[in-house]
Amino acid sequence: MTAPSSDLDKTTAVLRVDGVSVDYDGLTALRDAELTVRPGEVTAIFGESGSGKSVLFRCLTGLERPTRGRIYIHDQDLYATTEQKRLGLLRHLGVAHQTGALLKSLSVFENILLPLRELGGVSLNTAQRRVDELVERFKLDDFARLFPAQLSLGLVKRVALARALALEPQILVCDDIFLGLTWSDQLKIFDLFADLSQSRQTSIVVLTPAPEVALKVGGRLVILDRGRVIASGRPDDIMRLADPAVERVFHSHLRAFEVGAVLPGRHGDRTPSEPEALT
Amino acid sequence: MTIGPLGVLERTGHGIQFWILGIFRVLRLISACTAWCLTGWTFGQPVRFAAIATQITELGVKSLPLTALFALSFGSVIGLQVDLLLGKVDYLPPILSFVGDFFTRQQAPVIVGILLAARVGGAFTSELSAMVIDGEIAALRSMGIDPVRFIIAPAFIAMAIVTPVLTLLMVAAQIITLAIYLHFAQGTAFLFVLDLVVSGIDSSDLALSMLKGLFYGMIILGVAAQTALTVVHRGRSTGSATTFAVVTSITVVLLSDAVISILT
Repeated sequence: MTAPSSDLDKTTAVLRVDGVSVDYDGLTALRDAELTVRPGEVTAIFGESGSGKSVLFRCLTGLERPTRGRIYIHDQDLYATTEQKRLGLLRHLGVAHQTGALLKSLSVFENILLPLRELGGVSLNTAQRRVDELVERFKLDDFARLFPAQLSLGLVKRVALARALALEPQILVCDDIFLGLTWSDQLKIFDLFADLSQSRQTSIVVLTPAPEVALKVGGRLVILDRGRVIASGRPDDIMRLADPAVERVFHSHLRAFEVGAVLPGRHGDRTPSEPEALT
Repeated sequence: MTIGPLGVLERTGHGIQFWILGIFRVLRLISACTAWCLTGWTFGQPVRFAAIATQITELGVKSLPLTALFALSFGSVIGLQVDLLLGKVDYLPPILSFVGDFFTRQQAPVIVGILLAARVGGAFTSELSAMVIDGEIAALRSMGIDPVRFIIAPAFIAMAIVTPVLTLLMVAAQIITLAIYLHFAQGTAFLFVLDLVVSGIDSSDLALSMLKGLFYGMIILGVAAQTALTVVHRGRSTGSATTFAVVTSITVVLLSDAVISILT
């Protein structure tokens, strides 16, 4: 089902995964993965535990060199370059980790300030103003002076997302950012994604093991199973697929969640608006 | 796993490979830190002065009480030994001259090395390995911030500054303690003892002492950082990584000291 990327896709892609495989001592965790992300596109990557999501996340974010294949950010190979250039390429990415991965020794405010101070090339005053905006947008005012260990998981995820957006990246990669968030907070993040992708042309890649989240996020949906991309396309098209593997991995899970009863309209059904602050 | 003589051979081979790779990686880490210090500012990512100042406080200033305690203890013990020896030899100058030389060239750098391996190497391994396990290091990397520049290089610079200084302070504090001890035990004039001990020390002794301190400091931090960065890969816990780093650092400091002493 995976359609090969066209030449047009490749030239306009901000992020491209080209035949990426990762082997660990004879075990292939990811096999010939292909992915093309265009400007402003929202892509959900769904997969169960052990499907290769985390490995793909690590490859995309510069943490693991693929055994085979290439990853391009703005047509530059992320791994066939010097360490300095790789660090430079990674600045196009905003990354929100599954666990938040906030620096424990820094306060919430300092965590969000970190990329601005280290990489932003702006004065301290400008950086602090930007952090104040993010703190307000993510409703973190009361928690700005606290340390990560003092926060709930939901708050940690908000701070991680705020930190990932501090440098206004062209690509936002989120690893299971919805885990531990209330449904209300999840909806607000969906709105935030819609706003970022449409008003700022930010490309968003969300990796998730939750089929209802993958369906709701997706302008485009990619399904991973046992290290392979088994389907890729618009959520509506995926829903109509009669492929046994997709049925086993995705449709059956979706039915188990009874998403039809729980979910409000999909992302595409709604008019994106300026996202509300998270509560 | 192969058993019997072949198994022993295999394990020995793996052990040798582990240590050779370890030495190579520690050296690579030290050179990466040096490269960041020298060239980081050219592409807008200098090693942070604030972090260096914090590390100087953590590694150096906070090590002062323990350094003073060691100096007081060893200075007093050597004073006691000299006092006992004087009952048999009754000729002070060569003994005190030898003690000055011993303090400076041999003892102070090793004691400072062991002290820092336990206090600084342990703390640094523990903190950095917890950051690796909790994904903080991965988060820095994926942000485009090299953890070597952000965390390790400031500690290296701080270590390069504090170890020679602590070594000299250790020498001075031990000599003063010895002079005070002999003043009260023997009634020998404080300045007279000080003069005799210092006469056994020349500038090359001081330079060697400081260089040894610097070298041990680099080894301690290199071993600590390398152990912490590979904590997940090697399936270690923070505790076992810390123990490994401290024991390895102390062993390497003692072996290096033996080699350097023979060569110099």
